[in-house]
Amino acid sequence: MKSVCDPSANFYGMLGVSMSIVLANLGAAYGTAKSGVGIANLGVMRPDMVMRSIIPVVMAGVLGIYGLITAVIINGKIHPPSYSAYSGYAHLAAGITVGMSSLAAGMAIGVVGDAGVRANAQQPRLFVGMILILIFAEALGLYGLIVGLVVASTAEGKGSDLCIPWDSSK
Amino acid sequence: MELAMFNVSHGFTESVVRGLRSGFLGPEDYRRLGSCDTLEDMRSALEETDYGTFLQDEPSPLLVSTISKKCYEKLADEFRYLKAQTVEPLSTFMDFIAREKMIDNVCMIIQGALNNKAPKELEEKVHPLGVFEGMKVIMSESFDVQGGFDDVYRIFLVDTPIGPYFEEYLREADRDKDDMARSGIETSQVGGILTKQDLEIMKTSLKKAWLEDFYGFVQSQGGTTAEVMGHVLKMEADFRVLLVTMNALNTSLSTESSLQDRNALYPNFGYLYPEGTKELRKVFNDTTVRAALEPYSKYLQLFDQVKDFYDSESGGRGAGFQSIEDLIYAENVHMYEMAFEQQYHFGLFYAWVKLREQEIRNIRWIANMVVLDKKDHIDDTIVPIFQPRM
Repeated sequence: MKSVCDPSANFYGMLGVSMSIVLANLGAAYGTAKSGVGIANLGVMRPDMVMRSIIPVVMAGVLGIYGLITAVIINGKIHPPSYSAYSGYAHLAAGITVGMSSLAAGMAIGVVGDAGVRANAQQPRLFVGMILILIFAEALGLYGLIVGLVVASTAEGKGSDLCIPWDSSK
Repeated sequence: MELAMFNVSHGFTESVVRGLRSGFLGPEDYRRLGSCDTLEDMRSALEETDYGTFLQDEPSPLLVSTISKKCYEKLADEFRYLKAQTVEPLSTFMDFIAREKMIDNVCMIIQGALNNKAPKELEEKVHPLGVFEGMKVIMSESFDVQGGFDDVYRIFLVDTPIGPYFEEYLREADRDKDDMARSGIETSQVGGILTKQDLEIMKTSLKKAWLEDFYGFVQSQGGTTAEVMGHVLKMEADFRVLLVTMNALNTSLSTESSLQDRNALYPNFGYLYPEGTKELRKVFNDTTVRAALEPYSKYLQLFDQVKDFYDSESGGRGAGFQSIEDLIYAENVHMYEMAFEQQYHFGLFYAWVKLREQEIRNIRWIANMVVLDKKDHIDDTIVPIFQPRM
């Protein structure tokens, strides 16, 4: 008979869910804000370049989606009665991985986006270089997403007997 | 977190400056000014711009100097309004901007006192941006500059905001005097009567001290301010080095013995520092200057452009003649326009003051050309500001 698992494991799992979305949004917000300021300033002198310069904002927004995906997936894997401590720790790790990686990527995209769009207004040939740099910055968030999903998904079967038994009658 | 905290203290002043930015004269305004036949026409043309009716009370035969002075007064009013709204550290920053003009004023007063000009005349020539408390005192007292500059400094100048720069200058000058006295040479630097060249050297030394102080302040601010203003001040320092070198080439300062004097005028920062200035300390004619500027393509280009104009000038002023100062102004305008493209830094205020000065210079040039009836030369040295780039 399967015993009920100690519910404290759920704390770690839920913390993983919230960390992934919150930190990823922080990164996306910073990226959008910093490059948005640059676009606003550039748009005064070169309004024709504004639409091309929206690319850093889009890339920063994608980081928020990474966090969202991970949060939803982790949430779907939490089954309270048989949620082992191991699963709790694994989901926490996955959430923090995705969140902090997206935060880092968002900061990079923000700084590069700001300087890049302003310089692009002066020198149009910088466009390809700026896009390449943004792509490499975005890749960091993607690595975090991959690791987070792998950890969250493979925590399923493992360690299910690492449950701390909990007597619900007390 | 610059992004989040800057606007809390400085948001209002920055937005006022950005509003003032839209008041710069545009291409149509310059065209209308250029098509004026007399200064009266210019007065009415300026009424339609942001300058408004600032010349309204002036009596009818307008002079170019009146227009220029009124423009500066308007700039000074707006500057004082802005400064009143600021908090630290922006207040100190704006004070630094004003100190440059204070140095100009004090040097002008000293020169006026040397030539025994009446205080009224000096008041006319005072730059409105550089007014400080105690200036009236200095002007009205007919102090005895002949007696010795040390006393003048100790009594009058030690309390002013530019006191520390005089202190540094006097320390340098005294040190030189001691060195030379030891070797038996008498110097007329500080203890005696100041000649015109000494005054120029004093002014350049004071500006150098101010620039270094400003740079130190800006670096201590950090963030975007340090980045933007650091670049602006480094270029300023480099341009001063170039100007001092080029002027020295044409005067007595190019002899070996006076190299010491010239070298003391180089600021201790800038893109040319330290390798470039080390080379430039030893130059004494054109080819050596070119060799020293070799690794700095921008400055080499500037130098060559000026050399071309000077060489081809042998028959008189050709079309498009520009001195090195005009070229430097054009470079600077581009740099100051770039300062407006970034937010959350103090460089905006410095750039705005400098661009307004350039605009006043433009207006004065147009007025001069109108008076001399040489309107086709107008485009020679005016630099359009914030020209639309589409």
